Amino acid sequence: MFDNIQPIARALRKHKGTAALLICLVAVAVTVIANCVVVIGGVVQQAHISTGINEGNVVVVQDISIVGSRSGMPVSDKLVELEHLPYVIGAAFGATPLMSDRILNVSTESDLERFTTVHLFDGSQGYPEALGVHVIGGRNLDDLSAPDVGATGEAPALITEALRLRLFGSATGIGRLIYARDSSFRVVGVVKELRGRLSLGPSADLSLLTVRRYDRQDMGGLYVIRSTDGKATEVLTEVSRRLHELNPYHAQPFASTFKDMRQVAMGRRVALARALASLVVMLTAITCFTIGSITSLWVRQRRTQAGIRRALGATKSHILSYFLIENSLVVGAGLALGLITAFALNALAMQYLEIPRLSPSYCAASVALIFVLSQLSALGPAWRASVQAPAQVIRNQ
Amino acid sequence: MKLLGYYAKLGLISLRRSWLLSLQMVFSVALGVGAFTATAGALISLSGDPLSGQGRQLFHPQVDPTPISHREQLSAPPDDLTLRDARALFEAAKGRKVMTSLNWLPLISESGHEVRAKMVVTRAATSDFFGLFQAPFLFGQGWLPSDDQRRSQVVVISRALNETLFGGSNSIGRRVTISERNFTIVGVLDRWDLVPRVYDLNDGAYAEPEQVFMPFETWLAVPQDYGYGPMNCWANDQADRDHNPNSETCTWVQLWVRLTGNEKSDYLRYLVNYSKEQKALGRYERDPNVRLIDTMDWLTYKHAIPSSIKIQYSVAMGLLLISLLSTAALQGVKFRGLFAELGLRRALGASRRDIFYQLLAEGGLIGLLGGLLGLVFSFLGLAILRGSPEGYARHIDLPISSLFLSLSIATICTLIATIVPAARTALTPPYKQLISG
Repeated sequence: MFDNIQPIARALRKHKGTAALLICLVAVAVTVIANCVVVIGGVVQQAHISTGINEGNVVVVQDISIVGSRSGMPVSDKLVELEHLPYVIGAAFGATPLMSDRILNVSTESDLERFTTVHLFDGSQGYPEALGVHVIGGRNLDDLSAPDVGATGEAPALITEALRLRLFGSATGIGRLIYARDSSFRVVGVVKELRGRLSLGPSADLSLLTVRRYDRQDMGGLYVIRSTDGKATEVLTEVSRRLHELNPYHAQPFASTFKDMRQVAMGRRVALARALASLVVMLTAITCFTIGSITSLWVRQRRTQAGIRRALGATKSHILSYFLIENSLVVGAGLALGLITAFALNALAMQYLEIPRLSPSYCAASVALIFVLSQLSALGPAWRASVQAPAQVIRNQ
Repeated sequence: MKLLGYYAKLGLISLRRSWLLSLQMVFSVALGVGAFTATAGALISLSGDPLSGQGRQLFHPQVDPTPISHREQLSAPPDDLTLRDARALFEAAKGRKVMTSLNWLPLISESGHEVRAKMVVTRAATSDFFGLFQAPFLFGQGWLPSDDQRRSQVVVISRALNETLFGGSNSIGRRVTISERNFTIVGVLDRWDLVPRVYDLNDGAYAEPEQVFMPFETWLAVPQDYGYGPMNCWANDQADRDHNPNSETCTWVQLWVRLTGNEKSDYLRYLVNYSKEQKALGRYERDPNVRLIDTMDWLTYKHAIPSSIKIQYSVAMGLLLISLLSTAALQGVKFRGLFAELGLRRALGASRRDIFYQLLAEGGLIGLLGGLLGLVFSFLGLAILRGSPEGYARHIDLPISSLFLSLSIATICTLIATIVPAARTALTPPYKQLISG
């Protein structure tokens, strides 16, 4: 089968113009497709990342006092009011993922020489329940042991599984102390995951959640409320209404279900991914149709030759493999060239277009895809060449 | 000319004979040109001069009051100005000018017994803002320079806010309460679609539109709960943490001045002298580090064109390249198939040049047809781009010029793609062509 290669190479040299064009075509195709796949893949992965909270049932409302507002209800009373609303499972004062990120440098040693940067989630009583985090080790935080707002000293905290692995390795971490610059935290439990941003990096899942007791403080900020299944939109309206009733001189500039927040955060990227996906489909289609047409034209032009070879004893599969190998030589050369230009383009695009780095796996996937599709495109015409009865062909001569 | 018609006829016949191949080529050219035109059109409509020609006469002065320790390497001065610098530079500008910034202010509306507090995006600006940036008015007009000086309690509101508060009626003369102060409405803006929002790119080029516009000095005097808008501070003192607008170490004011002809170099010289003065007084540490950029360059500097548009444009270019490569390859193989007939023509007396032109005409025909179909595809592509959830989507349009451009690109590129196969075919000796038949 492979002693075919020399005659094939010679035959290609006769068609070197077309072969060169095909090689360039495949090279450009794989360059562009690989870089698009990187962007699309990144978006798909981001769309499936979990923030670790009960996303479908969480609602966020920002409640702030404005100039001239009379003294209002303290946060703790507001929380009690909110929890009495229908379909509300829990309410708390604090931020959710996708809101502003607070980071903290922590360490297992008090000198903080080797530290880890974590995302800090700091909220009022009821915070873990309102977020709906999934506790997988130790126990959840309870309101009774929460220190008061403004108190210094040790505070109980939940950490993510990823942070536990990072700080304590194989140990459970429960009961251990974590130090930050002006504070310390006692690990009480471990949650499955908690991400402040929809980021794929491992550091996104290094988070620490702590609770403080809000008593008579009247502050503006974010309220996070968890509803029963399917009632998020209703709860959102009710909470905004109730907060406005409790103090008409407070404004609620931001109110959204978490699902909508996530959709806004991802919406642009998903639209871009879709547009790129359709461009990739067009690219691939043009490449495959071109390869298919050219193969069938070459087949037609070498029909006699194929027939004679059959008559001289070549089997069907010989003829078939002849054309397929010819195709794979051309496509292979194009892919090899395209790999180099793909990485080159990626380097440029990372700088000017802010796309992610091209990973070998995405590259391999694009290459494999184009190779398989091009072989399939050539298969039709090649097969037709192989099944021609030799006598037929020679007679038509 | 008659020959061109003859070649065209030959081309058409040839196209019909190999109709599947021709269809494929036309289609792929159409796809490439369509995608390219749609994305190029988007890029053009988002990077054009939003002030229709005036953009090159409006400048954004920058000076550098930062200490040397703040940014070790020599680099660009801060985007914005401190209040003191802004006021000085504003006074010094002889022509049209505006100082502006933006933040959130609470607006209380009372309808019946219902009190509603909402935060409205408020732009602080001097009186010439509306004229310089060509803001359209629905009712009334902007305030006067004297209002700036007297700190009058007047505002201009957006059409949207007017609808919310007053049901869209003429609200000139009515009052609103902002930050516990009473303001009289002197103007209502019509729908204003300045894209990109060049006068203030700190929030991105396509951010939420403002609802209230207030005289700059008035705005400074209003009690602010949530700061004076985005500020870049470099000292670590309390004034910075409080975001005190009078701080000497925070930049936040944007200044635009209109300069024509020689005025530009004069003002640039003024900026340098001012910086030298400040250094002599001990306020500035650095040597003069000034910039005077016009609106178009400012858009580039602030990366106003979203990268997603640039990405789609680049991929569309790749698609166009591939469709042309494909067409070139298919043309080459198609011409091979025409060998017998071409050899006959040569034997009957046609010159190499005749053959070349004939094949070129065929290629041009494909390009033309591909370009026409490509127009349809570009409108499709435009519709898809406009459907994107991004803020800029509704501003994307296809300028007429791009349609002519796409037709010409299709024809010319296909012609170029045809040159090599046509030349090689024309140069093949006739006997070779006749044999292979």
